Amino acid sequence: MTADEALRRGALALLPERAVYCPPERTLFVADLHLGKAAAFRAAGAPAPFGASEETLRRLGALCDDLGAERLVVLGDFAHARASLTDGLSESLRAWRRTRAALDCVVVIGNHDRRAAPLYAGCGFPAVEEPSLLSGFACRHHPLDQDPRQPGPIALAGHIHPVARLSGRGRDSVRLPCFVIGRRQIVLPAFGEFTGGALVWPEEGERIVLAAPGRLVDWPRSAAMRAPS
Amino acid sequence: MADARATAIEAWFAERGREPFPFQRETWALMAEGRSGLLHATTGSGKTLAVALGAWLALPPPPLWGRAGEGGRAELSEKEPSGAPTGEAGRDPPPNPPPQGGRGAKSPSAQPPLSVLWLTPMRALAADSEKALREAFEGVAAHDATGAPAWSVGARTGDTSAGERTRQAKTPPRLLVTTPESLSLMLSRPDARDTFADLRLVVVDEWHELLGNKRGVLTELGLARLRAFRHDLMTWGMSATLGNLDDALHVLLGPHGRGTLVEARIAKPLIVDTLLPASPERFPWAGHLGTKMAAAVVAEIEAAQSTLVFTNVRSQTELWYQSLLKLRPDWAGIIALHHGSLSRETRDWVEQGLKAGTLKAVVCTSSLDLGVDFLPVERVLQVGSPKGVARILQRAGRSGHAPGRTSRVTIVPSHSLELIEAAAVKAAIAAGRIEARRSLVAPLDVLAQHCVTVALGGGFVPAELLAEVRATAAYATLTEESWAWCLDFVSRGGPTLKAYPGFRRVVPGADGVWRVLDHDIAHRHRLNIGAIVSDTSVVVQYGPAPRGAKLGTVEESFVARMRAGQRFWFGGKVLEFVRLEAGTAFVKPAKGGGATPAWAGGRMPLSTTLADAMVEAFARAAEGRFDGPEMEAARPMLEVQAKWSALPTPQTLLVETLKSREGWHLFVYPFAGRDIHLGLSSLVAWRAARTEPGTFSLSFNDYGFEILSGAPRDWAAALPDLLAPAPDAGALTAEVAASLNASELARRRFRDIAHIAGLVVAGYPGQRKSARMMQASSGLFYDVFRKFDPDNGLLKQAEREVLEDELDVKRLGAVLERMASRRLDLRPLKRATPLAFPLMVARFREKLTNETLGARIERMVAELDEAADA
Repeated sequence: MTADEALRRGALALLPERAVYCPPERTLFVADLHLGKAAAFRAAGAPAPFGASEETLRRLGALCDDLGAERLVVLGDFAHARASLTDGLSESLRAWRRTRAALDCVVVIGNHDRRAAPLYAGCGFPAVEEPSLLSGFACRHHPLDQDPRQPGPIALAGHIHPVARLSGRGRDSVRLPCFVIGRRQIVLPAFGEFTGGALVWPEEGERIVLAAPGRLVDWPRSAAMRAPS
Repeated sequence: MADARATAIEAWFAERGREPFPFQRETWALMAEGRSGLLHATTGSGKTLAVALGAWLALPPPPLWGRAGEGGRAELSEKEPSGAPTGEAGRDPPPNPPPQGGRGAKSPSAQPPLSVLWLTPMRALAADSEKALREAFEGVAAHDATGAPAWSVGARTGDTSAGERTRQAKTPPRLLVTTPESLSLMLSRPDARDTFADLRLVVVDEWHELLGNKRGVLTELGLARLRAFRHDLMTWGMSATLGNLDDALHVLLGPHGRGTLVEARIAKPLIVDTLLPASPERFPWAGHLGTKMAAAVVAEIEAAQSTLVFTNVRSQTELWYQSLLKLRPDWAGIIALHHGSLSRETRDWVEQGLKAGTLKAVVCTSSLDLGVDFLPVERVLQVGSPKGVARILQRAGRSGHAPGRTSRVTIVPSHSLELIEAAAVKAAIAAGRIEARRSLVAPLDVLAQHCVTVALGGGFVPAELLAEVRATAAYATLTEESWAWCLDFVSRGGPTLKAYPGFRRVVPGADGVWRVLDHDIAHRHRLNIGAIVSDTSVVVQYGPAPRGAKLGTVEESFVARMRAGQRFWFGGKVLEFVRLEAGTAFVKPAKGGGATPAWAGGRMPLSTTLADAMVEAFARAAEGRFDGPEMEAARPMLEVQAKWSALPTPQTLLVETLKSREGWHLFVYPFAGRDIHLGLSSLVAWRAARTEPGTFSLSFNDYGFEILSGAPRDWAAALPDLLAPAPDAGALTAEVAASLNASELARRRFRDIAHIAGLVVAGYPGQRKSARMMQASSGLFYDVFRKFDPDNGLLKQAEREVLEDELDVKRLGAVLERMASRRLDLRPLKRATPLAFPLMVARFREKLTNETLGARIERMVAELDEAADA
């Protein structure tokens, strides 16, 4: 099954909330939360404001609750750095888990998680190495360089924080987080608040879906043609 | 003593067949009295000798250092410290002076300390200054009857090796050439006070380059610090022509300082002329690049021994280099290009070639504006707008770079409107009208950085540092409130009420002294010192295997759009992009053509002095007077403008409207300079959005601005309200501030602020991966602050800087008044006029919107559906 077939058949659904949901397995996939990024900056002497992690967790909780998800898979970069896991954040995570005791949570270890991952289990988020087969999908942090050609589970990945540009008349344009859909791989946009984005253009055989507030927008081919050659 | 040295100077000048200029003698006399001042002289006029030899005369010679009351200069010598420092950079002077053995005794302990600091605005100039100073001191020492040795001269910049720095710390040179940033770095060392304990003189070369920007403010703070170490410190600046030299002197010395302005009145013949298009009809008023003038430029280069071709931005140097080489392939190897993004090696090679006279021509940017003596350069061409009167004078001075020789600059217009600029610049020079530069007022980001620097360099007591900082022109009126914010920012990360626990950069000690305790924070701060913010850049290097030479840098955003196999021009070569790896773009040589990288920055506004002169030139043309060859050449373009629309005049305000495929355009031409037009366009668009929500794309240049709406707008009907003057200054400020929230201006300005204040740490090659995790773009920071800490002082500074510096609300109000006093000349267009076209095609644009993101996306998607159905 290709990624597009999975989307058409309802085995997977892209959400404008910058997440992917698998209704049959009741599993929610998100990538790149970068929790505690501001705390890591503060620890390094750069004053970054409070509030981003709390907002990220609030949105994540609301999404899990609304969908009635039974499993949450974080596709890497759950926290930003080792210094991110302050007492405050650890307690917020535990509290978040307490109100969702039935939810099964797994974190696939990403590059930012290297040093912090051993602490995740204590907060209720057990960590696993990439790739891990979860709910029938090959869960990764780093996307595969080459879209897998052999039949097999569809890969879900993060890491890139993809964004794309939508433009219109009067030279209006906006940058929006997006999904990059390959034959057997979907790269998710970053879910976290305090995350940047990298502009992407679809490679051969890929398409892009923008996560606009409240709606998904198919990134048009004409926009691809406007990209610099 | 002093007589012997004065005789030596005369002898040295005589040996070279010269005689000191009166301004040099005047400077020497003032310096002998210990007075400070500003020397107004162009490059190549002998200003370095004026100040360097002044120091040599005023300060005691090396072997006799420490002896009191020599040669009738008792007054000055009394100020000499009585103890000679030991070799350790003046650390802990011994209680008694070491025995002085006359000139035979040159044991290390008798080494004179660092006496003169020579600040130069560009790293590249440091080596040249060092060489020139060494030659001067050796020259005069050879004629010194007392046999005193020449002064030792050293240089310390970002290019100085660690080994050399250690040597300098052990045995300081008598005179050290350095940059404002390296001075800041030295001030961040714990032994800063000792290092500069015996400093007698600080010289700021090319002061006009620093004045008016944040590097100038950094310099002001550095000078205040040095004066706090030593109250009798002498300060001398050197400046090219400015419209406000008295202010320049005042800023250099601080509000409490006293000094003299010395004028170097040397008649230096100057020619400013224009390379006219061969046939005005074929000359494109719409051309972006003007490389159509390349053949004429080739002819000019051919006729001269050596030529500098100045352009206004880096990408233009690449384009012009290509065009010249296309016409003259045989010039490969004898023409070159030079800009700030090329590797040091490449730039050195080009500079050496210019000095040796082996290069026929160099296409360059402002990277070759300053200092470096290129004696063989015979001609200077300025491609595109001259932008300012002072700037064109400076560039003219690059040719005939020696006393008595003629300087000549030829303007090469890249479109017809620049013909009028050329006429205007000539008129302004003839009338002696030159731009002024003023110190910035109290930028908090630079102050925050300085506080951390001083906290590292031995620590500070807040009340003392406040007094010191207020002794600069930039912070003379610093409020208690801003100072308190700054202290809060460096110690707690934010205002008291919203302090960030866990954050500690500067820590107040129990003894009342504020210091930096954390080693990592100290390290990161030192890496980040300075007020120049460059875009995130990636190194361009041959490779990946085998790895070859590094060619320079391009902006990350340019490389981010590249795919393997794509070609681009860089440093005059065609390169094929291989891949991006850890901050390095690996490339391989290629053939054919490619894209030209665009580097941000360096986009200079037309000075108001020049803009005013331009309006006058237009006014004369509107009366049918076409004075001079430039105006005659521009005549066909001016006639098209008059036929399709109208010419701007002092009595009318020209406004044009146009409906195109892109949408509904409004063009307004106040001729008030690029920055004012940016503010005006934001204000007018904001007023339009208030009556009916919308999204506008704004474009502006030195002549006027364009507002484009993708949705229908009846501009003509709305005009009187849109252009009305504000009831008062407060209302105008409120309106402009509101318009800022709808645009990205403050967000963009925040980039520099975040960097200087230490929020965003610049990446550096070979950094540890964990260090890279500590990077976030300033835009991201801006958004996070806006959302979670909207009262943050740095956000307010960004807004204030945009309002006061970038948009200049005060002037904006005056311009609105002036516009209102003129008769509105509204012209609906069928097609873009010569004045409108450059605005329409401008790629760099601002956006202003008060629609929701959802509404905009809705419209864009609808347009896409429409296009798909069509």
